[in-house]
Amino acid sequence: MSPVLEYILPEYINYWLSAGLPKFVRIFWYFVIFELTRYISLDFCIAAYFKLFEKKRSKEWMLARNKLRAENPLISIIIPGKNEGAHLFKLTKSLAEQTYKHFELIIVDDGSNDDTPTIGKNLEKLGLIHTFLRNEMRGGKASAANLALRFSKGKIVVHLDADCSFDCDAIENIIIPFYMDDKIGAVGGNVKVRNYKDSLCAKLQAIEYLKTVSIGRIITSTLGIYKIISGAFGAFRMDVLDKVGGWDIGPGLDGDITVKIRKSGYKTVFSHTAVCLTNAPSKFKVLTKQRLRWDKSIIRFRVRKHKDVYFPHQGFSWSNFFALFENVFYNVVLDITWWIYITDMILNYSSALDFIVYMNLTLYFCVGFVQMTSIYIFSERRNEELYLWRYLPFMSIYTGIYLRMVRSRAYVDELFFKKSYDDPWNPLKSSRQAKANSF
Amino acid sequence: MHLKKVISKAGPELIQHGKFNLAKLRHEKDIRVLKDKEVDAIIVEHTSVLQAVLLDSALYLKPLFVQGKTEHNCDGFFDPNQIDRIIGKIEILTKEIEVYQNLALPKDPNKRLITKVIRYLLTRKLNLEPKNTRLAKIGYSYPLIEDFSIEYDPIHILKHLNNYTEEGLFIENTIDKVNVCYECQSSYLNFSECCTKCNSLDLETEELVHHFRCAYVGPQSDFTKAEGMVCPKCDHQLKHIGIDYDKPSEIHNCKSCNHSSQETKMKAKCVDCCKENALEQLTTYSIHNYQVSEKGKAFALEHQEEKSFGTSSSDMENSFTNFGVFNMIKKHEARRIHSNGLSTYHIETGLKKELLSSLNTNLKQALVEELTVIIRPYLKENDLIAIDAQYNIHMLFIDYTTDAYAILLDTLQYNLNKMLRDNAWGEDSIAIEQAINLEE
Repeated sequence: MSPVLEYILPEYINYWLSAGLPKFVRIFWYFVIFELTRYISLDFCIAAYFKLFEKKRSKEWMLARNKLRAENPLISIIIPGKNEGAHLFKLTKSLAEQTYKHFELIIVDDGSNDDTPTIGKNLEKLGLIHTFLRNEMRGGKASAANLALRFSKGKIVVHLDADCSFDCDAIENIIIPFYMDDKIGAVGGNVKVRNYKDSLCAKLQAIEYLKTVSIGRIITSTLGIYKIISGAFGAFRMDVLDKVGGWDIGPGLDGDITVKIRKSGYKTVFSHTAVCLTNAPSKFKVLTKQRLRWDKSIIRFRVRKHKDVYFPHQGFSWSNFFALFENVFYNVVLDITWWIYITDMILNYSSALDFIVYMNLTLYFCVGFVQMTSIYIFSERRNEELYLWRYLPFMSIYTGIYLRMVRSRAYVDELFFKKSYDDPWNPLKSSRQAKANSF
Repeated sequence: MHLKKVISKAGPELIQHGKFNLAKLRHEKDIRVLKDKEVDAIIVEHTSVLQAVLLDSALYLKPLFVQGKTEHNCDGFFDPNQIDRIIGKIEILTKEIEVYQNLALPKDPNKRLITKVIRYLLTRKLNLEPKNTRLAKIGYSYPLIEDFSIEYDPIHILKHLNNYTEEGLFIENTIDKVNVCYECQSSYLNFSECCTKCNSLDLETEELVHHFRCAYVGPQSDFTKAEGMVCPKCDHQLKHIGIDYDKPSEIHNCKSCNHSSQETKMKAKCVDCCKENALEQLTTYSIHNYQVSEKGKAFALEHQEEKSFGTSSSDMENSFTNFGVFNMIKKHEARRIHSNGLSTYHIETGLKKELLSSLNTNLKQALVEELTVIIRPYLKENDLIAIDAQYNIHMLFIDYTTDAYAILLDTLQYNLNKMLRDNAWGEDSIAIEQAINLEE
């Protein structure tokens, strides 16, 4: 018999059995208080709520769909981007398959230095793109989106990323919610990872997207605190976009515009049946860069720019407060709390650290499986996604350690050095202005 | 130097200068009289006569001078008081043309034209240069070819020049390209940008402005306010390009269909025929200047074999008015006001196609000559006779009364048919194809 089975495992089990529940809770307070409530209890409560009101929701949905089909409004699909030429033809093909046909396609090339202008102009000539606009000088994603917005004629604007593809009813499903409630100003689509078979990095992101995007957003949307409409797939009422002035300088402009819309008194909801597939970074180096940018934007926008939502004022809204508070709490506060927890463990339980680390990994591992069950309940691709289950053990390290480290680094950079303004993702001319005006 | 005027009455004026005989022509008809004379150089008073000389296959290479100014091809300007100045040139050109003097010209009109042009270029040591002119349909003309042609069709000429260049007669050097209307081949085109969607010309082009501060991008008119440029999104004033804003591109708005696009469609409207051409419909021609190649030089010396048939070709040509000159005179006659009930008549006779196709070139020419033997006694001094490339005989009867013309026509028809019948060519082998009063 191996020494692990003969000595270490029994000792490990004996340690936790003899520790008792109070000590267990004391040691794993972070897990019990935050993770268990947020990711397990809430998931299943919402799943139960969904099941309970499924018929009613389905009826409302059908009614809204009929209204949409009767009105058949023009939809403007806008795709701002740089060096996205290679994706454009596939994208037009994907959109040509849509069940909703009455749309105009506007592509803005933000100063590409590859074949994008040639491809775009050709597609426009062929009639596959309605309008192809090019900024000879790069102005950043927000300016490109605003340019597209300026020339959009649709009642609803759908913002896409060029490297995405869509379920054939995705466009219809993202605009149906507008016909369910007049107060809905924007709807987010369900973004999933297309290239999950590419690498371990992509597989882990695929699981993460299922948890945080698919399920996480169903929950926040159901609770009325949905606060980020993905730039990869989001729909906006044209009049609402006009009211809020379109997109502001990023990075993190998708989260920013969602908050702006919420602050203007409109609801933002998530349409989990509007499915869009995107390519996630397949290397950790690229992923780290992307996540540093995303995480910095939480500080920049949620903490700094929109800090007014935390304080009583004339337009104060509890839902907006909770939407941002939840976001900041579960990201920033819990990240800091996690470091406190680590310090607590090192200082108070240094002799049992090996048992604690293993138990933590075991707990997160088990929770991962439980959470995947909730994903299984909601998902329309549950059979395909069964493939990902075997990679769940890696998620404890991926979300528990890797993402936390990246997040911590991003928060420090942004909180103390405002590094987001130096991000080459935006042209310097725009970042300089944004920094000078504290946007 | 002694200058002697030999003839001073109507017809060409012959001037003898040392060993050279110069002929001064006042009218196209003077050319016919000149054919019997030995002249070394020709002086013309009018450009219309100049072209008639160049069209004449016996005279086209002769040193040619113009009294007064002209843009046409000639070897210089003639000043009666400074005749010595052109003598040197006449001497050089006489030597140059000597080699071509006794060479015939091909019968094929195109080949004939190019042979004349090449010989002219070689004797004058010139290249064939195009001239940029608004008067030409395609914007360019080849003045030399124009002077050598009765009906100058620039596209036709370009195609032939290309063919001859491909055959190696010329070395070409491209100097320009012209786009011409698909419908009428005119280069007088009006290019304009129009809407890609509805083809409307009513486009408004504006620069796009990007406000860095708030990332708003829109046409400049969105920003234009009484107080200057103000962002419609954040109400901030835009003061400094490069600091506050930039202009990343421009946009065209169609006022007809409200379509906005950075692309426009170019269309070319032909000013001559009003046809609207898409750019891809336009035909592009390259304009070259042409230098005669070694092969071209050899080509200029060809055609000696075509010199003889029955009588010599030059004899044959000399006995007829050049068909080009004939046409030109016909045009002048049509415009001339006749008096005393007199008119000018053009008669064209044509041999049956079956008959012509059964004869070789020599026999065709022999037959035509035989027919003209019948015709000639009926021609007055001013009347003209010419043959075209299809062996049709053309006659121009100048200043005839209607009755005299009717008798003449009947007589000619009878005698020609009789001659053919008697010589076993068959009755009705010849027909009067045209018999028209030019005044009508």
